[in-house]
Parts: sequence; structure tokens; C-alpha cells
Amino acid sequence: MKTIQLYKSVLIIVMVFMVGACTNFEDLADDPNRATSVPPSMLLTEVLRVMNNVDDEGPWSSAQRDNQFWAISFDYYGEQDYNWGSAPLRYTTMSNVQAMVKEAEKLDTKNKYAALAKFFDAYFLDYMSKRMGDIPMTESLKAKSDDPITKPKYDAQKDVYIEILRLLDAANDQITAAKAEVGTGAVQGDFLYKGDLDKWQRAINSFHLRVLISLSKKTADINVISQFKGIISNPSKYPLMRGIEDNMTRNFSDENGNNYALNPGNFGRNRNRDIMAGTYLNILKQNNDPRIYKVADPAAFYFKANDPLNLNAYIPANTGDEQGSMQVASDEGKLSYPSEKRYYSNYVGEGYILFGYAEQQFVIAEAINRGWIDGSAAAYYNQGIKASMDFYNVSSTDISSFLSNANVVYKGNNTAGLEQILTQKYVAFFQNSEREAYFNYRRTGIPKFDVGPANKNNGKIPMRWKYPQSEFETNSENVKAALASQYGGTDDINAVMWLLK
Amino acid sequence: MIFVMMFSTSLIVAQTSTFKGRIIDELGMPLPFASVLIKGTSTAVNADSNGNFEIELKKDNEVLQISFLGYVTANFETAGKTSGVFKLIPDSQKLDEVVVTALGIKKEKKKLSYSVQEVEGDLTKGRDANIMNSLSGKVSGLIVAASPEFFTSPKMYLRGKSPLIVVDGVPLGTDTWNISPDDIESVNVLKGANAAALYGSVGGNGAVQITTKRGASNKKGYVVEFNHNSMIQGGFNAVPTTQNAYGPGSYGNYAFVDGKGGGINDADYDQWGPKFEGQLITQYDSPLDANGKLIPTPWLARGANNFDNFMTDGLLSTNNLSLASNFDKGNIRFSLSNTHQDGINPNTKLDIYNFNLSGKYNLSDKTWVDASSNFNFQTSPNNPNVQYGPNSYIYNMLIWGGADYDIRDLRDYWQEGKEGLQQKNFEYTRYNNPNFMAHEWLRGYYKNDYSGQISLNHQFNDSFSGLIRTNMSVSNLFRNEKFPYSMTTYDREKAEGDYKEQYDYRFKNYSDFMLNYDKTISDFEIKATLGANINIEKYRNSYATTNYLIIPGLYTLSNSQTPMQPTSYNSHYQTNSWYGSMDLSYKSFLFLGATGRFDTDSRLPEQNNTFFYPSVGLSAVISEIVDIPLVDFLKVRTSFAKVGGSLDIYSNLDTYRLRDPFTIDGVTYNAAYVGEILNNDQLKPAFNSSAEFGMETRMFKSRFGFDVTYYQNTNGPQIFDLKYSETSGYQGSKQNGITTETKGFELSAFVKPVKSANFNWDFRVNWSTYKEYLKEVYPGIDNNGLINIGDRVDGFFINDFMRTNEGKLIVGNDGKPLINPYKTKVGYKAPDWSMGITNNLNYKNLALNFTFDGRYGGKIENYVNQKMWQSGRHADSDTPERANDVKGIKSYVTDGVVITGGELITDGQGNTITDTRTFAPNTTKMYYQDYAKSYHGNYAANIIEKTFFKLREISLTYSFPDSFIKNSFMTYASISLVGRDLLYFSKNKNIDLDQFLDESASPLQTPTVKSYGINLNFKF
Repeated sequence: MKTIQLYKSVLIIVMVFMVGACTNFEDLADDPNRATSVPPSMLLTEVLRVMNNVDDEGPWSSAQRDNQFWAISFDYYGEQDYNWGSAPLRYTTMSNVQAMVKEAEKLDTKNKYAALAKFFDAYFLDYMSKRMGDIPMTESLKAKSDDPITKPKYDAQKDVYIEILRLLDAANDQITAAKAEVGTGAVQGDFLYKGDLDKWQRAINSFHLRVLISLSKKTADINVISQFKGIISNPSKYPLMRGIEDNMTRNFSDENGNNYALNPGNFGRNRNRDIMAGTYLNILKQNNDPRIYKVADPAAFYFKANDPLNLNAYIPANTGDEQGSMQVASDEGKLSYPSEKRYYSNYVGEGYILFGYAEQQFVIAEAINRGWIDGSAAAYYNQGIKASMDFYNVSSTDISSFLSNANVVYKGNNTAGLEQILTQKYVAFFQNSEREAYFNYRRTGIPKFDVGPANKNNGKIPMRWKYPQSEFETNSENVKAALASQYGGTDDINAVMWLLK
Repeated sequence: MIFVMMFSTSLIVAQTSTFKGRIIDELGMPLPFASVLIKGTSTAVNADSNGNFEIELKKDNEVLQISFLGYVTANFETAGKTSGVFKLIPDSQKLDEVVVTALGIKKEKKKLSYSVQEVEGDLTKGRDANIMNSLSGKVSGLIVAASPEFFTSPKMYLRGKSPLIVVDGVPLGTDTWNISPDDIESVNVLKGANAAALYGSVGGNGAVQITTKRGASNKKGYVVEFNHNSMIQGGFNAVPTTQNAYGPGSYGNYAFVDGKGGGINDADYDQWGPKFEGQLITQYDSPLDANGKLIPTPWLARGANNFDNFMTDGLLSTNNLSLASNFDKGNIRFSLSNTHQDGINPNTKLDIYNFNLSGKYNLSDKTWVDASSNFNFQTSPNNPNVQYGPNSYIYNMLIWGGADYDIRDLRDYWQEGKEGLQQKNFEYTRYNNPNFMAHEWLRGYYKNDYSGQISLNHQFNDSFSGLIRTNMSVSNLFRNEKFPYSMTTYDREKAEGDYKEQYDYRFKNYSDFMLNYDKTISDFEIKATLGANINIEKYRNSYATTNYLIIPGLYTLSNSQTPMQPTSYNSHYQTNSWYGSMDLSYKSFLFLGATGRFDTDSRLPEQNNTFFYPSVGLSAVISEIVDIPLVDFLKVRTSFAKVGGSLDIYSNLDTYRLRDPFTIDGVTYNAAYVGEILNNDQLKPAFNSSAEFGMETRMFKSRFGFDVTYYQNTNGPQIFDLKYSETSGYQGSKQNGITTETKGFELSAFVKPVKSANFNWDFRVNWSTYKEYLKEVYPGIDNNGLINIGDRVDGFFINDFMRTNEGKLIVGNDGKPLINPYKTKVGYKAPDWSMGITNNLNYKNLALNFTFDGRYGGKIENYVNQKMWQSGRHADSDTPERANDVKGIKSYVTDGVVITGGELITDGQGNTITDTRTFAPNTTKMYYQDYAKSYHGNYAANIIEKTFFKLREISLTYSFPDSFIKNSFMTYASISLVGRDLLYFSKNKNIDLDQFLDESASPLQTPTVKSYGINLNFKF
């Protein structure tokens, strides 16, 4: 009997375990660690994070080397060989834009987020198309639809730009309406403008001008000029940036994950390897530009304490120079470095301008120079220079003397004037506005970019990036068709896209 | 281990109720541990290692049933005798060796239709801290990729995939550090899905099954066993060697000012600096002049032996004490093990305490309870981080650190007056003082595991028996990391300290119910099992780190400069299963087996979460029906199995992901993003299937035998991420697809060249090979990335150097090689074959055992080699051209060509359309440093063959003779000299290739060392 009792009790224990084990399977299916719905603000933060691609295109990134603002002498940390690979795609980020709109639909802020979404779509289409050429658009972003498309066809670049311009117009309209809403909540998660829709609207229209000027070779294909006129002539409908306080700026901080690229923590790593590049520094030297004292240190070997402002002590490295010799010259103190005071004294650095007022004024000056609109190109040109000088806190006396410098005084609506506008625009882009300095060079050839033995692209500055290899693995037929129709079937980085023809 | 003792009459001493006996084989050699049962009772004993036994007889006339694996069981009457010598006859016709199959079900090995291999030999002698390493080379098809790192489990690959680890019929819920070799009775390996199908999806890749020891007794009624093993670990097998002619810097330029970039290349430097010629250079320890400026001191290779001076010898010491007893109602065994290890990295240590209790209690003749429990503590107050980075000694001392300082001068690692705040070092930006790291950057690991198992067994009648079993295991892991002020690593350049804590909790409950039926009807035997199983697994994790410390040296989470953002994770899943198996035998000749299993898995979409899979096998013992000369046993077998599989938990749900928060202007932003892989409600379970053919034979009176297996595993359709064009908005979706096929061949053979009373030699070899091919992807898709259907899945693709059609290197105008932007295949990653040889030699009281194993073929990138070339520390970088670098002369001309004109036009995947390039020999003189970094320092220059072999373990054991033992309190004593990893054979001695199977690049690794010491074993 005792045996039976024990037997029973063991059986009961085991049964209890097994019964206790029978949890409802449905309860186990859901992931307790992740959300199925999030506030749109969190998606906005994500989109802005990708748009402000500071690691790859922000201050002192490789993009700024391609812009020929600085050069690296240490091959272990990078080179300037212009042997470009593929450009990044932004479609998964555009999925986040769609999700942001969807999540906002339940909220009273839906128009605000939807207006920004139109701008983001335009921004990312432009971002990708100007790098590669034709890109999927009409069939893109449909993986999750009822009739899913997983291998989208490519759209011609021209059609992409027509859509970008339409989206920017629509964004302006919707943001005008959203701004007028009373009693609705504010946009959250916005680390650029803190939800200030007025500033957003000005930025969108300013960006609209950037896109239009980038189409300067396509005035016969698209009504670029009339659109440009339409914006400039109707400031109440299309408000623009009023000053550098309207810049789209991303700030850095002495806090986790958000330090400026150069800071005291990496001084030892970067100091004798990050060199001021000639394409940029020589322009400052030629014009006796006061910004040179803000951004660069003189080469120690040539510096004379009794003549601290002597520009002969500011020696750049040329982007095309062979790196070994560059490093040796650096170790001998014969090259100019980024200003220790400005760039290495704290973790906050300076704000990163994604697009700003100075650029906008130079764009308008160029449009006037090209005869698209009426107005004083010189005034816009001077405002652009002043905006850039203000960014560096150059004193007003230095600004005035610079503006009266014979090299700098606007030479009129001619090629010389255009070169001045584009050169000063280039200078204003220093360490800002992702690859816009390069894109302006690509469109206009101004300023002349340096090429030398370090160049591994047959001595050329490339005209584009390749399509990602993943497209050949997942969407081979369509990407090959796009290559065939644009570049004779090759994915050559020196091929010329529609935009530039 | 077999000990040959001459029969000694002194052993036979008449006792009234004690019967003494000795069991020998046909050659007169003892049969150790043969079992002796008094027929009709449950009283049983095992013979000792010399075949001697003593048993208490209740009556004068009992029948002793004596059995030994592979021998005919014999009955002897004791009437009128008090002792006897019993000779057993080998049963070459009927080798009814019993093996443990899936779920702990014991079956006769000859009836199996699939490949099962038992691990031969002693696991306790040439041991490693982790028991799994002792299986290396001993099982064909099983690769144990030993980790060189302290307290790191080896990676196990069975037929190229990770097998399940099973202890006493239940999948292991904790980890392999819980298993002491002293507690192991046997290990066998179920080679594939065919053998392990009853374990369900987790068994799809086969299983390594461990059976633990149970109660045993001798005439005292209990056995106490003590084993001690101590090994010194030192003497490098594989270590990077360095040049010690040049110090830190670049192009021969270096001058220390503050180690923070204030001097010339005095921070975050390479090792391409000035030659050590005694010239005067300011250094980290140069004295100061009256103005506080450094006075240059002679530049000498003071630290050529830094690494040897820094590393220490390790010690691995284990002790095991066990007590086992058999009694009339059952048995019990208690075991206590301690493993202590001092690592070769200074200030690292590990202690593992293992308490094991197991027992069986017979409630009646037909009902018994079997239970075991295991309690395990693992503590390691400091466990080094060997990843590439400023945390690694290899990084700090052999790659980026130079010979310009002597490590012994930096043993007082705090700067005077700044104790607790600032380390003393040779550089102050990127690198750390290794002494400071060893004693102040501490990573603790504290784990407690508990597992318990109880089963109730009942024999209903001659045919029916049943079992209910439940096993629970719980793991609690606490890890922390103390990162002191002034220590730097990537992304912590402010160097103001940190503290991190992590808690992990794991729970597993595995419960079975099983009903067995066994019936013999004339020539037919039927064995059937019906069972049910519930498996529940839960996991919880929480982790937090400070963001720099406010108070130096205070390691608490609240001492954080900005508020913490801790993270947590919880998961929970369950599988419910039904399974059945059936084995039919006809005579002792033909065997048919089948299994089937239904699983319901909470991780799969609800409509498809129940699935079925079968296995079937057929085997025939040819030698039973055909008399083949010299052949004792010949069996052929074939089987087919299919196993269903689940998917990673929560991986098929439409949820948002979160990024790490970041702060701008005092506001913290939390970004969320959409999962890039779309979920799929229609997802079905994954399936694996395996077909296997084998042949097994023994011949020449079991002096030679082999077992060969050919298998074809179809892995799929799997659950995979079908790649979409990213332009669709998503990277892909979860789908059923991708089928690969692994074809493999395994051989294990043994030879007993010498078998005599005094000398025995047992030689075994295991050899295996496999290749995995892509068979299908998804309808309409014929590639998976760069792998096309029909290709091997382990193709090794790299961005190679650009070469002309004649193979000449193409260089740029700066003399640096050009790199192909498109990837090309340079070989395969998986080894061509692997093998292991074990030898057991016995001469009288001496036994010599050794294992030699390794792998042949397969490619990997030697990352350490690449990094050492980049840094300038590579031993081969001391060339004549380098001497010119430091004089400022460019003298190296790369052997290659430059492009003088024309163009290479390719399509979007690198296929040539037109090539009009013209070439001329390169004449550009460059710094050797630039050549070395751009050529040797490139990934493409460092692809190596992975071939290596190791003398894995060796032991020489002396067992004390009975004449010595009988006068002592002991029943057995032996002493062994043991060694592990004593020799390493490879073309590449700066890397130990053991840990790699199909990786693309080697990480940094701690140099591997030899272990040697002693093992003592006593039984009382």
C-alpha cells in the first residue's frame, strides 16, 4: 500500500507539472519586447536620423573629403581615391515615412506629419536619383500592398524629377493648411526645428530651389524656370529662409552618441592625419578670406609668432597627392590642420547645416545670373557670403573688407560672376550640406577639383555612383534595363546621367 | 583499461558467505567491470578493473549470472564453492551491444538502421575545462572546434551543423560547463536526423548524448572514488611573432610629447617608426629638463619580450570525489567536482563547483523511481575580452604596441599622485597599459545552474512498461564589467570609467510520458513506444550601463554621469508533442524501424503550428545468414528521416524596432523603425530530411572492423528571408524556401594489431567529409546572393586584387595595388575532410593513450596576419626597403603593371564587356610602408588554407598492481602523466585554426598553449 501511495504522489507531482505547462499558445505568440504601434514622432526621429547621415556625409566625413574640403594622410583611416562603389538606397527609410503617416492618421497631427512626409519622399528620391540616375518610383514601396511588387521597374530620371517637384509643391500646400490648424498637437521627435512648421515650410521651399537649380541643364525638358519664378515671385505662398537662424541645422552635444566628429577624445587619433585640402584652402588664401583663421591652423614649420596672420604659413595638401608623402610632410609640420581651437576644444563642435540660408541666397543669385529671374545677383551673393561669415562669427569689419576685396566684388551676370557665386557657395558648404559641394562641381565644374596619383579612377572625378549589388541579386532584370537605357549597359561611375546632359 | 594479473591463489580465501570470483575472456584476460547477478534476486555487483568480484551469498546454492558486453551470458552454480574463475566466450555471432538511442531508449546496436557512434576511451585524463573538447577526433563526422579563449565553449559541428546536447535522455537546459567528465558513464553520438528524429526539431542535426554514472558497489557496499587532475598550461602552440627592429611611428618618425597627439605620431600610432639604433628620442619615460621638457633618451628595443613577460602559465586543476552504492532497493551516487583554472592572461581565473546526486529506488519489483539533480556554480571574477580593440592584449602588445617600452616598467600602473584616476602608459589616446587592464578592467561572470530530473517507471507486465519523466533546469547568470577612469576603448574616448551589469535567467521544463510494448512471437519481435512531451523554455535578460562615472572607482549603476537607459528582454515558448516508434525484428537478421512525431510549436503561425514528420529504417545482419570467411559480423543499413523545425522566436511578427536613444540639447530622442523583413502568416514549419546508407563489419575475430556511412541531408525547405529588391520598401519577407543538400561520407575503423595477455594495442581512426550545395531557393529565383543553384553554399567570395590576364598585379599611379570592386570566388570555406586517430596501448600495468586529429582544406582570411602587416609589426616586414623608408627614401617598386591607356568596361556585375587597357611595368618608387599596408595589409593577400593537425591528448597511466593494492585500504589506484594539445602542425603558426569551420575571417585570439600534468585516481 505504501508503494501505491508513493506511486500516486509521484504521478500527481508529474501531472501537476504537465498541466501547469499547458499555457495558451495564443498568449505565447506575441512578442512582449516590441510594439506593434508607436507614436509617429519616433518614426520622424528615425527619418531625420537617416536624412542627417552624419557618419557618412556629415562634418569631417569621407563625403567632405570627396568635396575636397579636407584630405587624410593616413591610409589606414581612409583615402581619397575616388574609386566609388554604390550609393545607398533610402527605400526602407521611405517605408518608415509611410509608417509615420499611418501612425499619425489616428491623431490630430496627421496633416502635419503628412506634409513633412511629402517633403521626405521628395528629399530621398532626389538623394538617390542624383547619385545613380534612374530609380524605381511608380512601382517602388509596394512590397506590403495587396498586390505586392517585389521587383520594381525603374523610372526615368526625368519622371523622377517631375514627381519630386510635384511633391515639394504639394508639401508646401499641405503645410500651409496644417499651420493654420487650431488646437491640434505639435510635431514631436523633431531634433531639427523642434516641430516649428513655419521653419519647416521655409526649409522645404529653400530645398525646392536647390532642386530647381540642380536642373539648370534641363530647362528645355522641364519648366524649371517658370517654377523658380513662381516661388520667388510669391513669397507669401512660398516663404523662404530669412537668415541663418532658419538653417536646417543638426546640433551636437556632449551626450551619449551625439558628439561632434572632431573632439578632444580623438585629437590624438586625427590631429596629424586630417589635413586642410588645397581646393578649399587655396580659395581662402587667394581671397585673403578671414574664415581661414577660423577653420585652419597654420603649418607649424612655417608659422612665425611675430607674423601670425601670414597666409604663407597656411599650406594645404592636395586631394590627389600620394598619401605617404603627405604624412611625411605632416610629421615635419609642413601642413595646415583643422583649427584646434574650433574643432577640438569640446564635444559639441558646430552645428551641421543640412541646407541653409547661405546656399539659398547663392541659388537665387545664380538664377539671376542665368537670367531666370530679375533682381540683383550681387545682393544675394553678398548675403550668401555674409551668412557664411556669420556662421563663423567673423567680425562685421572683416566681412565688409572682404566684400570690398577686388577678387570678391561681384563681376556681373556673366561667366565670371557665375564662377564667383559658385566659388563662394562652395566655400560656404565647408563641412556642411552633405555632398552638395561635389554636386555643384559636377554640374558646373566650379571650383576645379584636384586630381593626382592618389586617384584610382583613371584620373577622373566620378560623375555618379553604381547601383547597389543587391539590386543585381534581387532585381536583376530591371536594373540591367535601367543601365542599358542610360549607360549602354555598364555601371560606370564616369558615365553621365540625364540630369547632367 | 585492461590489467593483466596472473591468477593468484591468495585471492581465494574461504569465507562462509562471501563468494569470490574472477571473470576472464577466452585468452585468459580479465573482463573488467563485468556484471554478476544472483539469479532470481536483485543482488548484483560489478567486477573491478581486474575482473575480480566478491558477492555475498544468502544461500549456499545460488546461480550466478555473469554477463559482459559482446560475450555470451553464462550461468554458474555456486554449490559447494567459495570461489571460481569464470571464462566467458565471445559472442561474435550475436554482438548484442546495447546503446542509448533518442530519448534515452536503450536498443541493441545491431538492430539500428542509422549511424550511432560511441566515444571510446577515457575522458578524465587529458582533459580540458570543458568536457566537449574531449570528444575531438573521437567520432567521425563530429568536429569539435576548440576555442582558444578562456572559459569559452567549443563550437560543435555534426555533419556541418550544430548538434543537440542530451544528458540522460533529456536535452540539456543549461550548459556544458555543468558536466564533469568524472560523472560520465558513456557518450554516444546520434549522427543525424535519422537517429535523433524522436527529439523533434531540436534533434534535426543529430545529438551528442551523455549518460551519467549511477550507483555501484563493491564488497563494502559502496565505492568511493577520488580523481585529481592538474595541468600546467603554457608554451605557445600558435602565437603571432613580431619584428623588434622598428618602433612606433610612421615613415620612421616618432617623438613623444604627451601621448595625445602633441608629439610626432605619439598617439594612436602604427609600428612603422624609427629603427632601434640607440638614437636619442623623447619617450614616455624620458626625464624632464628644468623647463619641463622631455630630454631625449636612447631608442632601444627594450620590450622585445613584452608579451612573454606579460603572459603567465595557466593552471587547470580538477578534483572529483564520488560515493556510490547499490542496495537491495536501488542505488545512489553522490559526486562533488571542483574545476579551478588560472588563465594564461594575467589575473583571470575560473572556479566551477558541481554537486551531483542521482539515485534509483525500487518501489516494488515492477515499479521504480529514478531521480537525479545537479547543482552547479561557475564563478570567474575576471574573464578577458579578446575581441579586436583596445580591450585586447594582442591588439595592445603584438599588433599596435611596440618594443619601445618594457612591460615590466609599467607594473605600477597608476601615475603617482593620480592613483585611481590616471593610468601610467606609453601612450594616452588609443592604447592601454596591459598591466592596468589585467588588474582594473574586470569582467565578472557568476552563474548558478540547477537541474533536477525524476522519472517513475512501471513494468505493467512482460510486454508493457511505462514511464513518466520530468526535468527542470534553471540558470541564473550575473555579469558585470568595471571600466576604470583613464581606460579607453572604441567610443569611450572620454575615458571616464563605466560600470555595466547584466542578469540572465533561463528556465526549461521538459516532461515526457512514454508507454513501451515489447513482444516476441516466434521469429518476430516487436518493440513499440508511444509518448508525449511538453517542452517549455523561458528567458529573461536585463542589462544596464552607466554613461561614464561621476565618482571614479565607484562601480554602481547609479554613479552615472547621465541617466541610464537599461534594456530588458523576455521570451517564452512551448512545444507539445506526440511521438511513436516501432521496431520489428525477424530472427536476429532483419530489422525494420519507424518513428513519427507530431509537434505543436508556439513560435509558428497558429494555422501552421502543428506538423508531423516520420522516419523509417531497415537493416540486415548479413553475417547471420551467409557465412563469410573471416568475417564475424556484417551489417548493412539504410534509413530515411524527416524532421520539422521551428523558427527563431518572435522573428515572424509585424513589430517596430527601437534604436539606441540619443540626446541633443538636453532632449532625448528615441527612434523607432519598421522591421525590414515582412512577416508571413502563412509560414509553414521548416523541414530537414536525411537519407543514409551504412555498412558495419567486424572480422578476424573482432581484431579489425569498420563502419562506413554515406548520407545525403536535405536541409529545407527552410524558413528564410526571401530577399526583395530594397526598392520595394522592404529587404524581404519570411518564406519557406532555400533547400540545400549536404552529401557526406564517414568512416570509423578499428584495428587491434596486438592482443595478448601482456600487451594490447587498439587503434582507431575516424574520417569524414561533407559538402553542402544549394539546391532550390524559391519559385522564380535561382540564386541566394552570389551563390547560384548547384553551387556549394560555402563559396568564399572576396574583393581580390586586380590582375592582368597573365596574372600580373595592376597598380595605381602611386604604386598601390588596385582592388576589384566586384567579388570573385577564391575557394571554399568548409574543410575538405577531418580526421582523428586514437591509440590505446597497454603493457602490463602501463597504458598509453593518445589522440591525434585535425582537418584538411578550406579557406579563411588570417585577420591577425593582415592587422600585423597594417601595423608594421609583422615579423616579415623588416626588409631592406623598410630601412630606406626611415631615411626618407622611397625605394620599393611593386612587382606589377600600370595602366597606360584604354579602359575596362564591365557590366553591373563585373563581367567584362570590353577591355582596351594597355599596360606597362610599374616603375613608381614608393615607401615600403605604403606597399606593405596596401598589399599585405589587404584582406585579399591573407587568404590561407585552414589545414592543421594536433596531438590532442596523451596519457601514460600506471595502475598499481593488486599485490600493492590488497594491503591498502584502496581497491584501485592509478597515476597518469597527461598532456593536451602538445603539438600543433600547420603552415600558419601565428593563428590556431582549430576554432574555425566556415568563418570568413579569423578574429583575434589568445595564443593557444600546451597543457601537461598528472592525473591520480583512487577507489576505496
